Amino acid sequence: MVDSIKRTGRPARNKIRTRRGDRIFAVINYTILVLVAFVTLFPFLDVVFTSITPTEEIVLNAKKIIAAPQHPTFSHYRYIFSGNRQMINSMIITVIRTSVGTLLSLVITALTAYPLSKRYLPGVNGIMKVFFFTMIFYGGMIPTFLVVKSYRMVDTIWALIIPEMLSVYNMIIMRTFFRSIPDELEEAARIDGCSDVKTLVKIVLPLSMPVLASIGLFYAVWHWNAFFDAVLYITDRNLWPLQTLLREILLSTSISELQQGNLLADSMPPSSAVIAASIMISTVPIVCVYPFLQKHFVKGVMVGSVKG
Amino acid sequence: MVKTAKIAQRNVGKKSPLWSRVSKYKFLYLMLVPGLIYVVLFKYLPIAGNMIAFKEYKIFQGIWGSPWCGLDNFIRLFESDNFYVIMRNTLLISFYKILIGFPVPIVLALLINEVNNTAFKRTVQTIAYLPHFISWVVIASLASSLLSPTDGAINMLRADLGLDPIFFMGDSRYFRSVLVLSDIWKEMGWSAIIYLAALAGIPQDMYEAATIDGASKLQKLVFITLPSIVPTIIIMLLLRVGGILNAGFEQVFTMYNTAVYDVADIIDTYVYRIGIVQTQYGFSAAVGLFKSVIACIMVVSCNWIAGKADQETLF
Repeated sequence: MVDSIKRTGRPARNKIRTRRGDRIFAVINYTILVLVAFVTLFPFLDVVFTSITPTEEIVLNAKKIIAAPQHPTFSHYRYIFSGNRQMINSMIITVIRTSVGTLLSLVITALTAYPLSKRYLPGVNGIMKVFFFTMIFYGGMIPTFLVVKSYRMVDTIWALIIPEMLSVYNMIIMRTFFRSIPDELEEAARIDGCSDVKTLVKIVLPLSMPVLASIGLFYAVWHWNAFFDAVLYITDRNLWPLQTLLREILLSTSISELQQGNLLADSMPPSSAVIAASIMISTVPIVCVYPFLQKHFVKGVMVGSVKG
Repeated sequence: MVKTAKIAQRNVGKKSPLWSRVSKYKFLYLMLVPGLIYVVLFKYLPIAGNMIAFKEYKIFQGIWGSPWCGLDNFIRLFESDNFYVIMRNTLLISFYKILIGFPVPIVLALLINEVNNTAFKRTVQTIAYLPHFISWVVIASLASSLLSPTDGAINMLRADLGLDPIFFMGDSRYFRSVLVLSDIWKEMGWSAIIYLAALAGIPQDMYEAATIDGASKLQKLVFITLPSIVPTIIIMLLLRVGGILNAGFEQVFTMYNTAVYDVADIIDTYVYRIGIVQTQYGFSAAVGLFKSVIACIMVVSCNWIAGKADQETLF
């Protein structure tokens, strides 16, 4: 809506008179923004190039700031996957934790946010305070670690899914969204004989796709990028998610390990290429998803900040 | 008005006993059960588990069975030299991040807002959001390769200019700047969203009226745009100040190394090393509890001021 106002408003303004100063400002503005985009993309560009540059060229390019490959190759990617199964294993763990974790988180967030969005529910404010308090007082790393450990979740995939299952912040965003759905709609459904559960599933959730999409994205991004929970709770390397493995590779203790049983070991690429290819594998999926949800998550951020 | 009418309508049933009102909504209460179990098991029990900070942890007796030791852990904390170092680092890193990093997304939002070309605008926004979706593990790696003293782009540029290479990630003089700049780089686009929303909410007719009156771009910026987003700026600043003890655990954890502990070790990384690595649970929990209490006071008071500011500036 605001956009359309702007679109109709701007030409009218331009018609009056474009000042010389305004034009100079526009040029400077575009230049700065192009620079911002360049500074943001440059490190990624470097990684993309390195990951597909053949080993011989990497040696040749050692003294260049950035160089596009002459003969692009996927050999570094093949190298990573041809070692022991560590990388593939970690990818599977990350995919599982992201899909199962995001789904469970969305379910528990919606289940909690929906009743809390009902102002008429007796005791709703008190219950809300129970959730709200956990936002302002953090139990701390050590007590949380000891408590989760006592639940015998250590070294299972559940340690990556359950301890951070519900984000109260996301729940509040969702609650604010549920409140914006007119009560009349639900009232009508109830008069037609819908139960509370049926109203939620058939009326409220279909209307909430934008908020479900953005909160789903927030959870998915969190899961995909999380590495520290595995540092705490997973000692078995076979259960390490991608980011935790990546951190190990970066600390370069694992590079030699990746080689074990590697058929191509004698043609080992430089570590910068291995790291670049690993980074690509661990970032490309999320980078491909977020632009499509941009419209939704921008709204989600706004809702979250307006109402606390 | 419609809402109050509806509440009144619902309150018709208020004379009925509490139980019948509660049972009327039993499904709504049932829905809350998983969430409540979750916060009790994973949030409140850890909060209660902070009692370990007043105990001498024994592996076989656990949190609840270990013997009490009073304030010993806290006395040890306040008497140690590390306390001064980690407090100073936490506050300084946070302070620099606010001082230098806070205005950046505001300026970025103002610049993006001035773009008329929709396609260009959308492209810049999408690119600017990108680093927010990248993990600190990856960004730490990007930073160390970009800043590498041997083949990093920055040091190659310096070499072209005839300057000596600098080991930015391993030098105490530069490490905090690396933290602050990489944090700005990662989050400036994302943080700009909120200001862009505030800017989009400014009525366009104000600008049209100003244009007719012959106002320049700068005058419009100073007299219309900035005053309109001041409430948002104040609230965001207060939220940042409230979280001043969170200097960015994942960032420091993935970027720091022993060479820069003196300037980079923050409360959270210290708790991790003492607690998880050295398994001094009682002492590290005391450090964590100290942080949680101060952070809670900071957050509550800043939210309270933000609430006040919000009312005064909006109404």
